Parts: sequence; C-alpha cells; structure tokens
Amino acid sequence: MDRIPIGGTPPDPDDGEPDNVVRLPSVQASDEVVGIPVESHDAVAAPAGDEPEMSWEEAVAADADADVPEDPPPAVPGSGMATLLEQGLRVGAGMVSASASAMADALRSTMPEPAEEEGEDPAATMAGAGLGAAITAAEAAASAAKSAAEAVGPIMSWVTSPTALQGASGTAAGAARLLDGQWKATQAETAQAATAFLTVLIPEITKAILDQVDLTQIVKERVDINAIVEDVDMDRIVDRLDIGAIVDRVDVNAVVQKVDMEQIVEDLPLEKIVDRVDVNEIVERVDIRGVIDRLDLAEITQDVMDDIDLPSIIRESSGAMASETVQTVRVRGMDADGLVSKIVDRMLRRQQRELEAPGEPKDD
Amino acid sequence: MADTATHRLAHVYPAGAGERQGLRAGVVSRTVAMVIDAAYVVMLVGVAYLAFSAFRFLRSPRKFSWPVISSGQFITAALILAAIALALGWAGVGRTAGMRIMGLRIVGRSGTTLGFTVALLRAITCVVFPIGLFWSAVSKHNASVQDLIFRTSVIYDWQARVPRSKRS
Repeated sequence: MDRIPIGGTPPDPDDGEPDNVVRLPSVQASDEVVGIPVESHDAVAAPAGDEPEMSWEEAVAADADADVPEDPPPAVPGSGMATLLEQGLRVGAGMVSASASAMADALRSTMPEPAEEEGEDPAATMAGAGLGAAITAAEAAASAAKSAAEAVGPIMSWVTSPTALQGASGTAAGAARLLDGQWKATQAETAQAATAFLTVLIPEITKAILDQVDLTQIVKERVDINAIVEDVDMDRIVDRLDIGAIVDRVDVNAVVQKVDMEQIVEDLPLEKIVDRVDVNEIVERVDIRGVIDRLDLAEITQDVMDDIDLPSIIRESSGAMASETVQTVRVRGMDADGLVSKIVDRMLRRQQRELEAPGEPKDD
Repeated sequence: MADTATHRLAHVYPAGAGERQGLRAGVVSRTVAMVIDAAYVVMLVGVAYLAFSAFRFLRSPRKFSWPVISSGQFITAALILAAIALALGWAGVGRTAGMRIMGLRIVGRSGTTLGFTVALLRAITCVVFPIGLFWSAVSKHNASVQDLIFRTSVIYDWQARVPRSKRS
C-alpha cells in the first residue's frame, strides 16, 4: 500500500503528481466527510513542499510541536452532530412538555370538581414532573453527546483520516447502497400503511378536537368578519345569482298576506314625509295644460248645473229676493196681522192663536 | 256648491219673516191680497172689454162702436172672472196674483194644493160672500168662513225654501 500524504493541498496534476499517490474521490480540500469538517490543512497536515514524508506518529508529533498561529480552536469532529442532537432533543422536550400540558388540561377538565380546593393539582404536578424529566433527559443527552463527541473526536479524526477512510468509504458506500435499496423496496408499503393509519386517525382526532372547541366563539374573538366582508366582491356574487329563479320560488301572495299593511301605514311618519315633499316642484312637472285638454269641461259644467239646479235657485231667489218694496209690504202685512191678532185676542181675552197649518209649504 | 247656495238663500228672509213661513196668515195680509186680486179682476174685465171691442171691430169695422156695458153686466162679468181667476190660481199654483205679491199660499186639509172643484166652489163663495174673509181676524186659527167651510188654510209662503238636488 502506498503512502498517502496527510493533509495538504493535493498536488496539481499539471505539476506532475506522483504516480504512487492515491486521491480519494470524495475528499477534496474543502469537503467534509460525513459531516466531519476537514481540518485546515495548515493545522493538520505538514506543509507540503520539500519536507520528506513521515509516518502518522511523526506527523502528530510534528504537528504538536509546530508553532500554530492563533487560529480558532479546531472543531472537534462530531460537535455539529451533537449540536443537532441537542437541538432536536430540546425541540422534542418542548413538544413533550406541550403535549403533557395539554393532556393535563384535558384530564383536569374531565374531573368532576376542580382540584383547587385540594391545594395542588396532581395532574399539573405529574405534567410538571414529566416535563422536568424530559428536559433533564434532554440536557443530559445533549451533554453526553457533546462529551462523546469530544472523546470520539481524535478517534474520528483518525477515522476520517485518508488512511482510514480509504477502507471505510468503500464499506460505507456499500452499506448505504444496501440500505437505500431496502428503503426503496419498502417505501411504497410503508407509505401506504402510514396513509391508512392517518386516514383513520385524523378524522377521529379532528372530531375529538372539534367537540372540545367552540368554533363560533373562536370565530367571534379571532376573526375580523368586517375585513373579510370588505374583501368580498359582492358585485361578482350578485352577477352569479339567478334572481329570477329565486323570485320564482317565492310565494309572493303568502308573503303579502302576512304583511300587516295597516300597521305599516300607521307606523309611517306621513307628516314628515309630506313636509319633505316639494309640492311646487311636483306642480311644475305636471302638464296641467294636458290635463285640462283631456277634461270634458262642457260635461262637467252640465253636471254641476244639474246638481245645483241653477234655474230653480234663480227662480226661487228671485221670488225671495223680490223687490224691496214687495218685501216691505209682506213684512208690514205680517206685522199688521200680528197686531190685529193681538188686539182681537186681547179683546176676546185669548192667550195665543194656533197658527200651525197642516202639512208643509209646497213648491209651485 | 249646492250647500253654499242653500246657505246663501237661507238668509234671504228679512228679520222675523223666516220663522213665520208655513204659519196661517192674518187678516191684513189676506185682505191686501184680496184687494190686489180685485184690482187684478177689474183689470181683467177691462182687458176683456177691450178684447170684445176688438172682436166687434174686426167683424164689422164700419159699424163699429164701443159696446155699452151696464154696471150690472160689469159686476157680473167681474165676479165671474174673479171666480175663474181665483179657482185657476188656487188649483194651479196654490196662489193668486195678490197672494203671490203678499207671499201667501192656500193649502187643503192635508197641506196639499186644492183640487179644481174645491177651488172653484171656494172661489164662488169668496166672490159671493167676500166679507167672510174677515172672520180670520177673530178666528183662533186665522180661518175665514171659506176656510172653515172647505177646511183650507192660507199660510205665509215666500217660496224661498232650500232647493233640493236632483240626486239627493
């Protein structure tokens, strides 16, 4: 097996690469191997150049003795994985805590009486204990992962060294292809099983959630209906409505029979309405000349004359309104009649005459 | 409109005359009416004389001379004309010329206009016994002798009553 130079920039092919140097296809100067960042060539590898090749131990010793500039401390291989693991555990702990809290609330709501009188809520205590345990476990797991990463770091560095990787890469590639093939073989079946499970589970969960949630109240509190209505294109809705079909389905007669027109008329502020009517403007719009032209004034006049019987009025009024002389004579005659009657009655010692005539005065 | 006319006519009577309409008239008014009728009859006799003279003139103009009428003939003719005129007036419109001027009307026992027979008989009695009119001054009902005989009444009727509509 040929010696592989540790680190360093691979010699440019144009510069005449030695034939005995094997270059890993997946490892480049700036690549990472399985999430393990490749250390700086300056920090890990001896400077390429004229220096003679050395063994692993010699290289490590030389690296330790080398005057390393103030570069950032080398990242421990596996620390990124630990960070991800820690964050994942924290997220999982949060989800567990939220689930525990919700479950505690649900359990509390199912209790017949509130547990406040007993001082401390056992459900809350259990939920808090579970949450604390979850967080503690998460922190412990994260710490263990970090420690493991730090401990494994040198080993991983060795593992990721070109020498180790050369053999491991082939094994890993084979294992990956095997696992990938197994996954693809079972992918459809797994997806189908998951889909069937979710098809049954989701409606049940949704139903249980909706039973516990007052959607109406939520909508009232959370939804700005006015904003929604403002965005609604009413014109488009109206355009799509078949008003004729709707009207045809309405029994207008039944509706009208239910309407209390008298009550409506009584409630109408007719005086206010009339006050707002500009009668003059209405009259100006009326074609009075046309109305007059359509009237049969001759017939109307004849009807009026018939109703008032004008000739009779003239005749009788002329009889009543006879000359002043005649009226004077008549009145004088009446007065003389009365005077004579009084004298005669006084002579005859009679109180009063009975002058009522049979019937009523008759027309000519 | 008719009501307005009625309202206007209701105030055409002089003061005190309106409430006496329909009551039996007294002796003075009736005497004045009789005098007017008498003058009217005299006028009629004169017209009849002129008409008779014209008739004679047209029949023999050359032999025409004014007819000579004795007083007896004149009175007889006047009485006959008076009876006819009174009867026609009473049976026709319920009043004579004199009664129209004085605003009087004669009615029967039921308040209706007299029939011609009753009117003629009453006219004859009036012409024959005109003094019977003056019993109305004494009568409690202002009735003359002829009124008592024929159960008639002479009333005030200035004929200024309310005109009635044809459709009412």
